[in-house]
Amino acid sequence: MGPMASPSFEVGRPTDLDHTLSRLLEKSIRRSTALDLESLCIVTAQRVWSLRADLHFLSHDGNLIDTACIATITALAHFRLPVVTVSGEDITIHPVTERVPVPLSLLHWPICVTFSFFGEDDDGEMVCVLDATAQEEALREGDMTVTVNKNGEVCQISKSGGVAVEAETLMKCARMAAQKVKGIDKLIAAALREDEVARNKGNLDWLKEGRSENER
Amino acid sequence: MSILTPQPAGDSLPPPLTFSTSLFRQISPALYLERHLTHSPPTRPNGRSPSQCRDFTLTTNSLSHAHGSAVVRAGDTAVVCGIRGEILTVAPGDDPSRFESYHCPPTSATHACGSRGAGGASWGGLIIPNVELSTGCSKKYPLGPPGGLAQTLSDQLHELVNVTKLVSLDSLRIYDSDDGSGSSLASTKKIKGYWSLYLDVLCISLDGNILDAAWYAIVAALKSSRLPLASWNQTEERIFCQALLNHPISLRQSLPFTTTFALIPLPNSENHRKETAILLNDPDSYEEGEACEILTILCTTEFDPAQGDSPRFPLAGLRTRVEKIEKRGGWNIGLTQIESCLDLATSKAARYFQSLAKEQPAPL
Amino acid sequence: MTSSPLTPEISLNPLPQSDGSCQYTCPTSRTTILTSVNGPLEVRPKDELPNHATIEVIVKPGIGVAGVRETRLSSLIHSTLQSLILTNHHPRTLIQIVAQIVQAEDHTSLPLLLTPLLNCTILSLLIAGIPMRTVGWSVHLAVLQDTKKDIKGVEGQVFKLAKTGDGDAMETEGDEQIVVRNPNSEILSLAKSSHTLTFSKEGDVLLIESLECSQGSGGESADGQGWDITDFLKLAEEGKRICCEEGVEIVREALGDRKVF
Repeated sequence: MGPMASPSFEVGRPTDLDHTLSRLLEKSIRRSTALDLESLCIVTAQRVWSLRADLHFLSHDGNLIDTACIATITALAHFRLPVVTVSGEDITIHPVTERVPVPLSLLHWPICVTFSFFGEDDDGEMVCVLDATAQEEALREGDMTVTVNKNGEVCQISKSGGVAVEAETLMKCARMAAQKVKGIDKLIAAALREDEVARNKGNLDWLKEGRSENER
Repeated sequence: MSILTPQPAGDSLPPPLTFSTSLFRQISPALYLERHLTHSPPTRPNGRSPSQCRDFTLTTNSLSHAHGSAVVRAGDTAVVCGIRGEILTVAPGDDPSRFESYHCPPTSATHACGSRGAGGASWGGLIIPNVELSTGCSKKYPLGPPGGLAQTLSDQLHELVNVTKLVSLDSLRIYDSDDGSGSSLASTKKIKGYWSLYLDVLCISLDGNILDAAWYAIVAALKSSRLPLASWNQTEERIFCQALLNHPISLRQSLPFTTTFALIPLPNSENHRKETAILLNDPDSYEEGEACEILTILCTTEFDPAQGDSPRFPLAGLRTRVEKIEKRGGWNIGLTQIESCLDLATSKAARYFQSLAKEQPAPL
Repeated sequence: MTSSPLTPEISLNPLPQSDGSCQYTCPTSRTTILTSVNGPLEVRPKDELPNHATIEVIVKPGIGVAGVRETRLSSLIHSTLQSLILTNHHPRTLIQIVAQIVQAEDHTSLPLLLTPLLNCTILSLLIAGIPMRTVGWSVHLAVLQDTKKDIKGVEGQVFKLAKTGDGDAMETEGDEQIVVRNPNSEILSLAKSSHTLTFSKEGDVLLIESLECSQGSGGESADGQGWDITDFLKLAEEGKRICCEEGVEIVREALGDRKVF
């Protein structure tokens, strides 16, 4: 998280937000076993794929957690791993031009939804806001992140301090999150499909080229 | 330069405020340099003329543990370069071709595997320079993790290794059978490993122009290094080394050297756009602090091998090839000035070459 | 936008949070850089300069964490900007420049990254309204190794320069050097040398980063590489023409009616 997103971030000095974010993402994506780690193994106890997700924050206007989570999940779903064949001691990594690479085996898509709480209104009802802007985040009294997948299964809930929230409100939030996630899930799927279509077009062109080269 | 202070009433005028030269040097470096350089003939504070470089000394093979080493001292800048060879075994499944070239083009497969990380070997090649500015080498660089200068230098030296292609990669290969069957069979032999060379440059004392000194130390150290002869043992399936260090690293015939110039602005003219400036060869750190532009030329002069270690002066008629030019900051150095700097760079390269040739290689 | 192999794709102010930002895509190599400029800001007491603004340049890599290559790139950009920005107009402040490599063919190649980085930074400085002495533009030229070989897909990028005879015809070289503008990594791997040249609007040399980059296995085979200084000067003159005429035109067009200069 650098000063590009907002001048308040300094270089080389991670903020609290930094730590919270990486911990939340770790809890949401890695510890929820969204990614089948066994599928990344090439030779048991010898060679594995290592995946690295770099998140660059370009512009900060609130709700970094949800955005980062959606970006990571979409990137993981979009990623294609080159095909590897093992025969005896020789391991061959086929370049993407040779064999069509395979997607990662993602078991489910956990998506974070963050609620910001602004204390109780006149009726004693908690004011909670979804997708807060940077200004709203600066003013909020408490926040909670719920990670849900599209089946409505809660993977993770984190509420660290802030204003006290009634259990009932929490339940309401979780239900709302489950509903929101369904919409986000559709959005991701649509974006991925669009990209696939665009790529397939390119792929066909490439196949033709490859064939004509072979003929020569 | 004078300060008015209230004086007791009296006829005697207060003595004008004066500085000792050393104080003047400290508080107003720009003016101090300017006074020196506008003098006729221009002389630098260290007594050199603008185009004169410092004398340097070279000692090779002074470190007994390293496979090769050199100590270079130019003025108050002193660097040590130690070379350490380590064997890199080609694991089954590794593609040896990625070590084979100085400029390996990225392929999509290696790109996906991460073109960095993995022990540094995958993108850094086989020759890995590293610069460390030792504690106390200069007041400007306190203890701590490598700062911007050390990192930039490491990268510049790495680029120089790549640009000059100084070391023959063939001499770094370890084949599966080293029975001296000759190079005609090289295509059938299987590469089992590589020597990877770590070039560690330690700056003992820093007084400007460390790039030239570091590069010279690297060239001299590489020239003096002797690796043990490594061969593949078929029965044990491992690489073995002989105890004797007698396997030299083969380098290029014509050695390239860098020369660095610093440009000092002389803000004496009224028109700010057209300020005059003066180019200094081999700047020390005091001059570097005031410089606004740095020019580095890497060039090779092809000497006639018959003349051996005594290149003729002047160097007219010899072919000088430029391999790298880097100019950063400022806007005063024009293209014509670069051309005139090349002559100075050539003569400096010749001096480097001469002193390197005098240095005796280690006994086999 | 445009599909010419010489005109970069520029989008101004994509980031609403920063004072000035710019996204720049090299037309051939698709290297995409995003820069943001913030300033003048409050400066850390450690970096404060009594009569100049402090310039901070941060280059963030697309993959992984910043290493020596990024440090070098930022120090190159820093020294170029140091002389371009009128730092004495905002003493004791900070001008912060962040460049993010969004997409690159080779994330470690200095020549391929430097030109887009410099051009993008200069554009975003203009947008941010940072006072500058003049405007610079950078161009990347590659001299090809083999003068006879035809390379597909570089039409419009190639120009030829007559070569000065070396006197001794020891190599069967052609009498002209073939120069490709804006090479991508494929062309660069065929090139003999790579030249990143930056000139100001007035034609002053701001930055030269020229290096030999032919392939090879080193050792004695590398003897006799490099180039002649007169060839380089010719190339630099051509680079100057490109920067001063076409570069300035690109900047002017990109800024449109923003009336920056």
